[in-house]
Amino acid sequence: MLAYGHNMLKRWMANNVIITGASDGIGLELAALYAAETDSLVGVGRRPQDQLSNWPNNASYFQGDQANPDFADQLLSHIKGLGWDHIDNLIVNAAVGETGDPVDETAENIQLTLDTNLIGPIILAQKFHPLLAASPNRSCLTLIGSVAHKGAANFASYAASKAGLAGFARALHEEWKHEIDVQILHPGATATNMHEKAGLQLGKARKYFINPQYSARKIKSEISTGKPVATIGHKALALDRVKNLFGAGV
Amino acid sequence: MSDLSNLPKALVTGGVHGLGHALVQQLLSRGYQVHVVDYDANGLQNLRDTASGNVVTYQLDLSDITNLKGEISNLVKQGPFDIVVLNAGISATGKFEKIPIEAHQKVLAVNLTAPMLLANGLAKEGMSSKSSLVFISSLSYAVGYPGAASYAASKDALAIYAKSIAKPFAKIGIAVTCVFPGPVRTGHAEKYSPKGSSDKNRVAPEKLALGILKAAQAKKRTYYPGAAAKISRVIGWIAPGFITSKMRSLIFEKLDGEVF
Repeated sequence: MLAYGHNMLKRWMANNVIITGASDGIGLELAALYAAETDSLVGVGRRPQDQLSNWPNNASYFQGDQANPDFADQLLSHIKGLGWDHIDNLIVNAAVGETGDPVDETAENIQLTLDTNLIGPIILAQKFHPLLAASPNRSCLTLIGSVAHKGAANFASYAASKAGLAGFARALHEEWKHEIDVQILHPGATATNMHEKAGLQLGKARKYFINPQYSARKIKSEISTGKPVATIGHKALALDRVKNLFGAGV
Repeated sequence: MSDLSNLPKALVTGGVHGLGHALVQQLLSRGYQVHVVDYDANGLQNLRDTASGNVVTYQLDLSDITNLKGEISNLVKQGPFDIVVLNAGISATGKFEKIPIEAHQKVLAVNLTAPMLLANGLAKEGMSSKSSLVFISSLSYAVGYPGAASYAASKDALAIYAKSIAKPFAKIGIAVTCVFPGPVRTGHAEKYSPKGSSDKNRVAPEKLALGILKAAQAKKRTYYPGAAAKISRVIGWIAPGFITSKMRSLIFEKLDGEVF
């Protein structure tokens, strides 16, 4: 029990951390949270760093595309160039998606969605296994899923990719459980720019979506536990607001 | 010469061996013109030589997605199909990190990207207005599959793709069925199972093919063949962590190296 608590504390004060999809939304908020605690943070995104207005000064940034089959090797070279010999947290957050009737979806979009959201993370997990295993702490591979992993008619490829990620995490959690924590966290609909990028105009509905800062805080909290599955949803949000009323926020 | 244009048309991927072969035979016996996609050129030749009905074959490697995207338009021209069974599948078993990344990529291409692209391309104009589209997922969707992590990923993704497209596809007359078979008595199952494991609990491909076609005819959205699959589904729903942990001790810990 004491050892477990020690691991939790160490992970809470995580040392070497990588976050993909860090140039926007939940990933950018997560980067801000981790940068407040560690100088050993590498964020990854498709946008060039000079286009990011509020990237933390003490964090490194790597421009890359998770859909690219060579992405994991490129990132690995970057990490080794920094002199890192281990990773404590690898947070795979980058994702794309497009809304619409699945009959009208293009082959290119299906392939891009699967490559970015599922195949890219699987390649990352395999290529980064040695660095995760080398951590002196209990390291953690965190895969960011979605509540859509149970199915969504207008997000068919996206839902499929996130379900695949859930099945992958479930299997890998069992395989690696004596060595590395593997977890999948499913945020509910979050008020990021992803929906607009996916072709969905939120309008007034946006106010009912989860604040990305809240999602990031909850995700960081779940990472500290190493729990294999968790949903970051509206129920949790409601509970959090009640707690805030009594001065005991997350 | 008889007029073949009036025959109902079926398309089966991975139709040379195992379950696919049984499906092809069943469809031929029911009077379908059966279009078979497979990578095995000799197997396709053998099928053409021995088939008791009308067979059209295509030698395609479904792991070559760039090539497949070009071939889909050719397949569409052979339609409209009355039933399509996207059956082709491969696996890679062993410790995830020890299996070469190329093998994982191949599993995901054959088991997931290819059937999703085929379903999407055929739905646009390659299916008849009252047709069936069948995906072969796996019981691993219910129980998890440590020791075949990329396979598990591909089959879970396929299950949810089938679920997601069911209603939109139904609007254009395509009934989607997703099948969740446990181990089948085929060379494929034997290749990826722990060495020396018994095949007595594996379902015969002929029996499974009959069940699949019946489920498609009945427009069932999901089909868990056999009592063992149905019980596993319920346990997987009630206690997902427990059953996946059991899969670790029953399969993962008994695997003797990597097979891909």
